[in-house]
Amino acid sequence: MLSPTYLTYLAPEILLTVWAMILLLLEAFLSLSAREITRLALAGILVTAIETLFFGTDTTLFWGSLCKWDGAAKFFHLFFLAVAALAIWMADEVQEPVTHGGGEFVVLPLFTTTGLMLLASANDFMLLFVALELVTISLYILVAYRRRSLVALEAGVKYLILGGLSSAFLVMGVAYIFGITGTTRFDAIFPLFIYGMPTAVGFGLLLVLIGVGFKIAMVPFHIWAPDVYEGAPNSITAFLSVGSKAGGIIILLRIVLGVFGAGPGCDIWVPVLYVGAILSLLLGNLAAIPQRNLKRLMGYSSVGHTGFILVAVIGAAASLPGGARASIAELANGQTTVMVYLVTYLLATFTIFIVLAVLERRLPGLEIHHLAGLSQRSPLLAAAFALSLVSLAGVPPLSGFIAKALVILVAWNRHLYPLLIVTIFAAVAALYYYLGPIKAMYWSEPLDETPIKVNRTTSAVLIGLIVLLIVTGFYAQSISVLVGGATLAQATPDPVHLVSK
Amino acid sequence: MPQDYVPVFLQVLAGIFFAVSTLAVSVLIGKRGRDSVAKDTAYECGKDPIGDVHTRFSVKFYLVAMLFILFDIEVVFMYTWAVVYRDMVHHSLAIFYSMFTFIGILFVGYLYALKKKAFDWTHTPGSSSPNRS
Repeated sequence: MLSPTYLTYLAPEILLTVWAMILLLLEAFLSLSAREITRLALAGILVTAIETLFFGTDTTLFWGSLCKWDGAAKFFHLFFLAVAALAIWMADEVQEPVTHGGGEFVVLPLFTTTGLMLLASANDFMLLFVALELVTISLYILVAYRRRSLVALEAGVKYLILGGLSSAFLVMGVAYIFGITGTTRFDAIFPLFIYGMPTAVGFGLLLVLIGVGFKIAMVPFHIWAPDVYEGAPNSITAFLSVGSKAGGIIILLRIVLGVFGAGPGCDIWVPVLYVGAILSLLLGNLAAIPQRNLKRLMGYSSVGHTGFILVAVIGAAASLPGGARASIAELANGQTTVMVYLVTYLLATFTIFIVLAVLERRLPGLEIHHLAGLSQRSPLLAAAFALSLVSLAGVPPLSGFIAKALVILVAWNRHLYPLLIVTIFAAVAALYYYLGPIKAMYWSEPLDETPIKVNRTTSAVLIGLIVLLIVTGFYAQSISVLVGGATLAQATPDPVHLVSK
Repeated sequence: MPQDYVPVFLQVLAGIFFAVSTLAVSVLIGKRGRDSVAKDTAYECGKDPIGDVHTRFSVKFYLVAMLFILFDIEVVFMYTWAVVYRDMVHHSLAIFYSMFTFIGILFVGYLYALKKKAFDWTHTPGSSSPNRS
C-alpha cells in the first residue's frame, strides 16, 4: 500500500494527464497511427489503474484540501478507468474508424477520464466546476466528431447548448451557497447547516441539483439524451451513458451527502430527487416503448436507469421528510446500492454498444427490425445483446437483477412506499421494451442471410463481459468485494448523531 | 436574511417587466402592415442589394480567435499569480512550480497546434502549391 501522502505528487489524475500530453506530442511529432496511439493509451490506463489499487481506502485530504481520497473515490477512479479503457478500445477495434485525426479521438477520452476522476474526489465547488468543464468540453468535441454527418452535428449543438445551460445553473447555485457561507469547501460548509439553513442556500442547492440533473439525464432535464446518444459515435455514446452518468452520480452523492447531508439539507434535496426519480422512472421507461431506433431506445432506457439510481441515492439520505432517521448501516447500504447498480449497468451497456458498433459498421442508423434473425447470422452477437438486455431489464439470474433487487430493498427498508410502487411498475414496463429486440433477433426471419464475422479480440471481450454479467448475477458477493468499503468518508461530525439530537 | 435578497428580487422583477413590456408595447402600438417583396429584402441604404447577405469567412479566422483566447487567458492567470507571488514564495516553492506546470501544459498545447499546422495560413489542404494571394 502506498501512503496517501504520495497522492500529492502521484495522484492517478496526474499520471493520466501527463501520459495524455505525451501521447499528443508523440502523435504530432512522430505521426504514429491511431492504432499505436490506442495501444499506448490503453497501457497508460492500465498503469494508472494498478497505481490506484495501491492506494488504500484511508480518508485523506490532498492538494490543499481541494481533493479528498476515500473508499468512494477509489472505487470511482477504477470505475472510470474501466469505462475509458473499454471506450478507447471500442473506438479503434470495433466501430468504423474515424476518417481524420484518429489520434485525438483516442487522446481526448483520456482527458475526459481525468476530469471524471477529479469529480470522484472533489472536495471543493471550484474544483468540481473545473473538473466538470473538463469532462463536458472534451465530450462536446467527441460527440460531434463525425462532423460531416448531420445527425452528429445536431447532437453536438444540442449537447453544447444544454451543457452550457446546465453549467450556468450549477455556477449560479454555487454562487448563492458561497455568498452565504464564504467558503467553497465541502467539509467546511457541512457543519454550518446542521440545525438550520437559510432560504438562499436552499435555493442555491436547488440550482446545483438542476445543473447535476442535466448531467445525469434526470427528467425533466433529459431532453438532450436521446438525440445526443443517437448522433454520437457508438464508443462515445457508451462513454456518455456510463462514464458521464456515473460522474454526475458521484458529484450528486458528494453534494447531497457530503455537503447537505444533515437534516435541513435533506429537507430540500430529498423531495427534489423524489420527484425527479418518479418522473425519470415513468418517462424513461414509457417513452422507450415506441422507439424503433436502437440508440434512441438506449437513450430513454438510460433516463430510466437514472431513476433507479436516484431511488438508491434517496435511500442514503440521513433523514427523510417523514422524520425517519437512518442508521449508519442504512446510509452505507444506499451508497453501496448505487455503486452495485453502476457496475452492472456498465457491464450490460458496454456489451450492447459493442454489438451495436459491430452491426452499425454495415448499416448505420440501426432500427429494431434490422436485427431480424441476428441469432442465425451471428449467434455470439445475438446472445451478447440478448443477455445484456435481459440484465438491464432485471431478470434473474443476471447481475441486473441483483442491482434492481437492491434498489427495491432500499426503498422498502426506508419506507418509501410510493417510490417503491413506481419502481416496480417501471421495472415491469422496462421488461416489455427490452424484449422487443430479443424477439426480433430470435423469432424473426432474417432479411439478409449473410453471416456477420466478429474478429477474435471483439469476441473475447464480448465473452468476457457475458461471463461477468452471469457470474456477478450468481455470486452477488463478487460485486460486494469490489464495492466493500467504497462509501463516502463520513463528513465530520457524524450526521446521524447530529440529526437525532 | 431574507431581506438582504430584496435587491435580487427587484432585479428579477425588473427583468420580467422589461421583457414583457417591450413585447406588449410592440404588439399594442405596432402597425400591422402588408408584406411585400420589397419589404423582405435586406436594407442596403435604399439601393437594391447586390450579392448574398451572408459572406463566408475562412475557418482560419475562428481558429486564430480560439487560439488567441486560449493563450490570452494564460496572462490573466499570471497577473493574479504575480500579485501573491512575493508573499507566498517565503512559505514554500509550491507557487513557483505550479506556474511552471501550468505554462508547461500550455506549451504542449502550443507545440501541438504548431505541429498540426494551425498557424499555417499559406498552405491549403488539397492544393500542392502555396497560395499567397
